Amino acid sequence: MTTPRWARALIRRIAPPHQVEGMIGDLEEVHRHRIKKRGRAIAIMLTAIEALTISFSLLVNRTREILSGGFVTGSEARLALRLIIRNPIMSFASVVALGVGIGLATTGFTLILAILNPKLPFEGGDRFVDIRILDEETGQPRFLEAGLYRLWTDAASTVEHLGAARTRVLNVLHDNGEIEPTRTMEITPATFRFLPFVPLVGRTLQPVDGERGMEPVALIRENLWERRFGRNAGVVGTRANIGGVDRTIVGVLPAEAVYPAFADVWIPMSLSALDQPAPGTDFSLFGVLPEGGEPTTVQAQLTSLGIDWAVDRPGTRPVLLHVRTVGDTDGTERPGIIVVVVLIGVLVVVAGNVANLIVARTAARRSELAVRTALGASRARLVAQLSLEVLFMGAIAGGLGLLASQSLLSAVVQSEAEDIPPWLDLSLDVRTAAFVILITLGATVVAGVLPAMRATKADIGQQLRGGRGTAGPMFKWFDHSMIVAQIALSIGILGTALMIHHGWMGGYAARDLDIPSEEILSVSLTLSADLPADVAADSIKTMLRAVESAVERIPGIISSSATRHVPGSDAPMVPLIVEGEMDVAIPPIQHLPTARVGSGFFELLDAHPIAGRLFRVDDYDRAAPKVALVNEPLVQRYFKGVNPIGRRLRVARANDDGPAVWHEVVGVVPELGLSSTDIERAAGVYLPFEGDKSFTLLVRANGPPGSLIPLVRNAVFVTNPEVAVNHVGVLSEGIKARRKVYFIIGSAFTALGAVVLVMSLISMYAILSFEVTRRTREIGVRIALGATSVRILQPVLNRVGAYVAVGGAIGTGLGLLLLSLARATLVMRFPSTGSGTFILLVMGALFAALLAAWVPTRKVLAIRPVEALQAE
Amino acid sequence: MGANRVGEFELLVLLAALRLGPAEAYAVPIVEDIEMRTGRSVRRANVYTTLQRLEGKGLISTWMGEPRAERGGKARRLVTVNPPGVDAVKEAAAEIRAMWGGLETIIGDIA
Repeated sequence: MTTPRWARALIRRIAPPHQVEGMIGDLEEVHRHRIKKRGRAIAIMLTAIEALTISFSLLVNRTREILSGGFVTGSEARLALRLIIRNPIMSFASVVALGVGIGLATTGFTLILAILNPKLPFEGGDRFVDIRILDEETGQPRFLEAGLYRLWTDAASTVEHLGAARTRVLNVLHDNGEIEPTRTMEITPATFRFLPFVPLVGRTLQPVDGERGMEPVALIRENLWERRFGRNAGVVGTRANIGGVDRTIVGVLPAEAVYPAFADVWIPMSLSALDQPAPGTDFSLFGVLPEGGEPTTVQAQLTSLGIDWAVDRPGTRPVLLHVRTVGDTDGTERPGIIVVVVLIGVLVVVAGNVANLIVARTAARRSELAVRTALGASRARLVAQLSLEVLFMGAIAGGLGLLASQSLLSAVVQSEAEDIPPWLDLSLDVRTAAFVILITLGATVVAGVLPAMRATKADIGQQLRGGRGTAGPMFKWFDHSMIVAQIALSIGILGTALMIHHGWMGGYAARDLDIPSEEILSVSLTLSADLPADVAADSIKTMLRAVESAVERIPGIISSSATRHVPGSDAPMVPLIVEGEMDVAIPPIQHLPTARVGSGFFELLDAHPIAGRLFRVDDYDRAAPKVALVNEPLVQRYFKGVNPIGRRLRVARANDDGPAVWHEVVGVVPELGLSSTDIERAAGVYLPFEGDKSFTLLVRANGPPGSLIPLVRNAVFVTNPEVAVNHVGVLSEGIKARRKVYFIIGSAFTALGAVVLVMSLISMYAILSFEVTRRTREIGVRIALGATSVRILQPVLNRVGAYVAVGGAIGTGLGLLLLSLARATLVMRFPSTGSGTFILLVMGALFAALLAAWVPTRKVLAIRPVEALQAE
Repeated sequence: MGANRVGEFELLVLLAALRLGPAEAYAVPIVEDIEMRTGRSVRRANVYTTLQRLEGKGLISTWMGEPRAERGGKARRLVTVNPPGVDAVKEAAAEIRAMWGGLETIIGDIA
């Protein structure tokens, strides 16, 4: 016969407390009347609709009251500001916490917005397609071949334009003799017909610019124009040596010219660049669709043409094409969306935390609220007043969060990092601003309005009469889950951060390498010339010898050596097979850090063999027997201290069907930094350097080498202008800088985890303090009746234990998950340590939580029963 | 004069409460009374919010009656019209009469 339970619960939740009984009685009375008149089914339906209508009207009415009831009178605003200032620590903690949460959520939102908005940011940008060329058999990327490119451009009808481009670092020789390695775009000139970039001065590239025999030309981008030429329009027509070729500058592109990639110099691509196909040519192919064109039709036609082309050329493997609109995320945005959801989750936890602080503080003001109610203030007005304070803090936090987010994103954009699509629009737009306002208001509701509603839900009249009122927690589950979530989050983040930080900074990474790194320059070089694979190694060796001898002629320089590995950085992990398994159990294939180093590498580092010998000059001859060196940690770890000299090892290849090339171990060297952070990854192998287009030249000086940097740059350029000097620095500074990066990242994670942990403890303290204060009278009665302190404390301590146990268990799981994710995804390696950190952390959190519970409880236990009974 | 001016629906609620009297005036019969006399459909939610508003203005007072079985043991929140409420009704009626004056030949008498 009664009304639906949910309908009663709804009205009980929404109606003002003094009207609840009357309204539910009315609902019941009318419901019974309806049952008699219209039957049970219709009565339930009508009553349900009525309950919803009543609830909605009450909510609308309450909102209207709040908005029209002088929501922000001058005196209330002043009071709110005064309360913020009077509690500087809590206000600061709340603003920082909300600011961090809002900043993180906004950063994630902006990134996702950019990723989900894949069109190139100019008219016609949606017609551009990326065309990836893969080997049909292996699925590996294939380089673009001239014949195939010509066939496609001549025969493809499904695409309006086929362009190709690549970026390389080339040396630009300035008038003052300074050499600046500059990112240079080599692009099909005809592509400019489809790009919207209007030159600031001069012209863009024209199709004839790429033809054989034409005068070499170049465009520069606004950034370089401003930096090197002071925006002088006279730069057009001048000549510049770019990568060893004198070119006439014919125009200046605006800074927005960032597609297909960031580059400060743009030069026309010549088809002859494709005539000598070689790995490392690295031209990427793209197309422009006609109006209404589809990537799939392009893919089908180009693939078909590619098959015919391969059939006509025996021995040529067909290609596989993958064509998609530029920026098409192809499902890769999903992890990003998860990140945003997680970041918003962090914000909710943070807002819940602030809410707990506000609740606890509001509890102390209940008498004041009761008096104000008695003087005629409505509940809506009190809620508005209490929320105003959080709204002010939220507004400050929202502003700070937005500022931090924009600074971070702007730093990301300005870094012009190669792996960030340059056309991603990360600037502040209306949607981001709306999102910030929305989450700030949301955080204000969670942190301000809900606690205020809860604090004012008490029957204030009862309070004034000395009763306890009904100011129990409105969302008790909300409090519990917030505290548990915070503890879990803090232990997960803090444990992970501590383990990574300790791994990086505590041991191996913090050691000093026993090498004269202060006297060594590290010169990162790239050969920009295209060389066919069969002559590349010898050409590079010749070039290398020329560069080495030019550098060694500089006064103050003792020696130099080329290497693929810089001491103190992570050497690549290479699959190796060690011959024979008689002495020790070594897996057939072992991934070991393997450094390819040039002649004189160990001598330059003052390293002496522990056993056997170092590499000799004749070890680098192609016909010489292959040799290898191993380091001491490898001997200890894999050879169990047994002398490995004479043992053989070789690189395991994917198609291991050719003749095996074994390297004989001829010596043992000390540990010279094969890993930046992980001792377990420092046990490795050295092989002779066989020539590569990118390598590092280590240069040993007879003193601090900083002043020699310009001389080294010039010596390299004069010897071979096609060798780009990417970076020159003192080795010791590079090691320090790398260590600093680890330190900053590790510290930031640790600080974040610590902040969340402290916030969760403060939150727990606030909740328990509120609870204990509310129960002061009850505790007084129990003490008067002879209850012991232990019995009174037990429920509180049990609850704290439950918080930490549940939060700690979830947090440990989360931390272990984060660690495995970090190991799988972080470029930086870190050692694995035991999960003891998490156990210690949970125990620490339990101790701190008990302390947080003990402080308020002790106060209550210390007072005499009579005083306790006079409380409130 | 006019400090507690009431709207049209507020006037109807006040009149219904006066008619029902302090012992019988609560939301359910107020709705019925207005519906029966005016012929228009009235939502009880609107009566609740109007009663809240009138109480806020001090024109009525509400008080809990005795629990009643036909209401599932719940009491009725009864309405008493305060003297300012009676004055507000009189003022509204006077205003209507004043505006009506002279229009009898066009739209007939007020009653």
